[in-house]
Amino acid sequence: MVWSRTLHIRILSAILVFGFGLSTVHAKAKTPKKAREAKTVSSVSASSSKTEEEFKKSIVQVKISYQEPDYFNPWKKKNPKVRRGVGVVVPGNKIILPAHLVTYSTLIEVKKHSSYAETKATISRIDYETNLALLQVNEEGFYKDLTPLEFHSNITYPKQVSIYQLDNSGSIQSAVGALVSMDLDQYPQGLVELPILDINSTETLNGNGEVVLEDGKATGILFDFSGDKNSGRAIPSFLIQKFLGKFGTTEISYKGFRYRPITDQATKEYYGIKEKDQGILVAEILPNSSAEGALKIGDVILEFGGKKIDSKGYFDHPKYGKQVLSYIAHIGDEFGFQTGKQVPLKILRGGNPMEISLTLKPFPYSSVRIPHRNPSLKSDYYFDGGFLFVELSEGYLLEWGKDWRSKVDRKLLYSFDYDKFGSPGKQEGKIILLSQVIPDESNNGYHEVSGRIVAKVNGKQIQSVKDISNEVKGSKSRYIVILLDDGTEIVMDKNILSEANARIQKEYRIPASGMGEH
Amino acid sequence: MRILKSGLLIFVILVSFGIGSEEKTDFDHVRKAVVQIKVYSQAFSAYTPWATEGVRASSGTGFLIGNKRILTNAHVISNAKYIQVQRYNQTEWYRVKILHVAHDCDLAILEAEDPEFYKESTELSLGQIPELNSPLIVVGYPIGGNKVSVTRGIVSRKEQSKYEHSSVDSHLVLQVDAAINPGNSGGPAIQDNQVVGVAFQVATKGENIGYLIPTKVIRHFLKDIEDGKYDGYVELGIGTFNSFNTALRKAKGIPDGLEGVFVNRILPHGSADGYLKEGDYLTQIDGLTIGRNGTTTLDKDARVDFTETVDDKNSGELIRFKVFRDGKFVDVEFKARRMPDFDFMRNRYDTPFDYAMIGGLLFQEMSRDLLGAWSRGGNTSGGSQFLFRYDYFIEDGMNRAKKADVVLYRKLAHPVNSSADYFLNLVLESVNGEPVNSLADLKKVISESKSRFLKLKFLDIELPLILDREESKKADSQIRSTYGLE
Repeated sequence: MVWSRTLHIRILSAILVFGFGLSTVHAKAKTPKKAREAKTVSSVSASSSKTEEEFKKSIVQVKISYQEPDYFNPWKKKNPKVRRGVGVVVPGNKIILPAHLVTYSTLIEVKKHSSYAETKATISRIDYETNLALLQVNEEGFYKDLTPLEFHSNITYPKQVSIYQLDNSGSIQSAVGALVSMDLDQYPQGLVELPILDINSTETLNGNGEVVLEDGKATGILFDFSGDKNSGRAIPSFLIQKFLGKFGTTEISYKGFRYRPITDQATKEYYGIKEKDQGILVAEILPNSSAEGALKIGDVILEFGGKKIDSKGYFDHPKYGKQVLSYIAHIGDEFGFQTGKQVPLKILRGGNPMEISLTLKPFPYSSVRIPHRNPSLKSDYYFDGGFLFVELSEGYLLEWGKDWRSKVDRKLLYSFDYDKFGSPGKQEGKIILLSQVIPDESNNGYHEVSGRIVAKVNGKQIQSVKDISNEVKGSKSRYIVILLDDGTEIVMDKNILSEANARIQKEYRIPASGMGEH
Repeated sequence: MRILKSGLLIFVILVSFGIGSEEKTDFDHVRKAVVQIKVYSQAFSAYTPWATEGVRASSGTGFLIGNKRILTNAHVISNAKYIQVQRYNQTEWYRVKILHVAHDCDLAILEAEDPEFYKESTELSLGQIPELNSPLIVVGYPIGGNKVSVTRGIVSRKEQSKYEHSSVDSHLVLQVDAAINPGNSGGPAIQDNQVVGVAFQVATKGENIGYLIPTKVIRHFLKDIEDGKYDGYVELGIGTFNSFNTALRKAKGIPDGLEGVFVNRILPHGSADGYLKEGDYLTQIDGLTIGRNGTTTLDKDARVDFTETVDDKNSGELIRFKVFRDGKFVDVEFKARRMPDFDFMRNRYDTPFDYAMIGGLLFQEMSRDLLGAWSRGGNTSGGSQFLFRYDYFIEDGMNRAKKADVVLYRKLAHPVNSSADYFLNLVLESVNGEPVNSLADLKKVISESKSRFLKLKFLDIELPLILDREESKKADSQIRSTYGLE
């Protein structure tokens, strides 16, 4: 047979079919039809102390122009688009809305009930973990006919709720829904699991900031809605209040470890667990996190912050029933836990009971090797001589489209799943790719190379694209040798780089600011 | 890439170039050599290796090449339990046995047991590689009838291409523009009264594009089986990179005008392993100059990858390179050898899948078929590790240290394995600290272990899966009867 790298290049290759046969067998996976959940919501009369007319003074419409980054051509952005959302007026003359709406924004404009005019707003604070952003409007007198909305401190469910938004004409629109449950999950751009409310409604909603109201106060802000399932998700009021500073620090802390449930007898016995239905296993510890130095892999956590932890990782929350232990570490203000505070733990280590404590820290963003979700973790690139080096990020992989997991090279997919974070005690930087080669006579022969991991530059390991540019600039030798993971050596000739760059910049109309490192 | 088993046949209609009367005679000679093949087969399932699949009927074409031998495609007779043949004007079906199968080049040799079958038959001789743009006919028994059928086509391209039967191997193919239909597989392509190829696959995209196995590949097969057994193709086992780039050439000190390619990867256990080095500049193979793009001249019509020269060799034959290494020319020669390491990447036929079970957990060595079963199952957890290891096992030299990745691919539910889902589709690294580098290793560790617990450590996962050894053993016999194993 003939072995070649092209085994892995799956684009453009014609599909060959061989065979003969009377019976033709097609093994095709049928996509299951999405079960359409039909939920009945009885017509609601959410008793309200305010009239609808009053609520419109607390809600504004927000128009966001935004431009997403182009990871394949990082010197430019994609075409501008517009999205609309709902903002809620809060004390201090600010407007709160889901953060994902204002991601990559180029212009934010707000419109209130009393005016058709759009007024420019700017982001005054943004937090991707809670998916909340605060806008400020500098126009004088903007807030004079607006009233801040109050938020509930307690949430009860299941319950009927009203959902409000402002339409284009400035009149209020209301819908009904049901607050079903609350669970912990990551927000669209967050890395820390936090409480999220599940809301059902048969009405047409967008999930772009509609406010969920009960008794004249807000229970949450809707940030996601699927019309197929008649269900959506909302940011609960107490998380919004934390963001607004009600509990002192607005910082979200992170437990710093991942765990596995213990459901079978052999594992229980192996780890020396005597109590029935209690304890989870520490399976992974993030470097520079709350857990590093305190917990060890293989520890069994029996109690966390004074609460008994069951074998699936749940504790009994006095108000919200079964919640996962992450609740205590991530939004444990009500139990006296937040960043900087100590959480007491009862554990088994090597079968011996121990009492330890861990100091709560925020998510260790510095340990992220492959930036994803959180747009503030932006990745760098270096573009020289037509060679485009990028740091591997989720954004880059997503450029392959919705089906990216089945399209990208499987080494990158594997890296994404297993190398997202560094490991404790190891110095691991970003994963650097030679993303593509912009054809020029100087880089002849390399035009087809794309998406390979950079192993070494001039024989040295690298941790960032900056390391490559430093090597190119600092090296005394004329030729810079860049070794890719498949054994290919890329040679850059320093003497002709500036000439080549000038040609490439002109020919492909790349702005001068796009060349070099970023 | 999923392989759809559908047929292909090629008819060539004999109208051409005003030699009508001669063609009739020729065709009578040809059709007496062409054979219809009826096959009843039963495939093995990687996912359920203890059970049997349904029996499937199919048909194909073959032709007589002398000494009672019938040449056909390997895919025509793969997994066959019962095969019969019949020739033009015969009414009886004759049973045949398989003499040789070569899955890597999709060829097989059959022989009928009853001499009656060969009565009044003719045999076809092998010709050369036809010229581009020359006409040929393809003869066979496509579905839709029991009569021999003929299609006419033109040789439109010569190239190395993937043989879908194994889905890994690439050899020379002839591309023809001729309608090919199911059942034609194994039928001869004829030019000037000689066989110039065997019809074997079609392109699903593009109209009327069929592929022939050229006589070069057929001869290689026939030579291989001269000693009575099929050994398979040899593998050079290197990755190369073109030498177009001036900076690269200068940095490596390659003299101006010296044609060749750089070696950028040496695969463990390949023919070149230990002889060529990464960074070598290959300038000639067997005296043929290698171009900057890695090709050598095949004939006046085509340049093909230089590895085609290696593809022609049988195990043990010498491969000779002229190499520019460290500023000097050196001659490097070594014996061509097969590389069984690639076998797990090939579609598998004719043999059942070996597996191991502990506590209802099923383990197998990673293979293409397992990957297929895995993706049809729509699994997600651990998928990327499995896919990555499959794609890069040889390329990244993981085969240097271990024979195979053993994967936990399926679980037959039982209380003893209630915590095991997390580990599905992951590569097993060790059991109680003993490394697992093959299925045999795993079976050995399990049977020899005396400890109370089995600690199954999986790749990239720190915490092991814990099983109670005795409890798992007990569970296994229950599971065997409950789920109908063996």
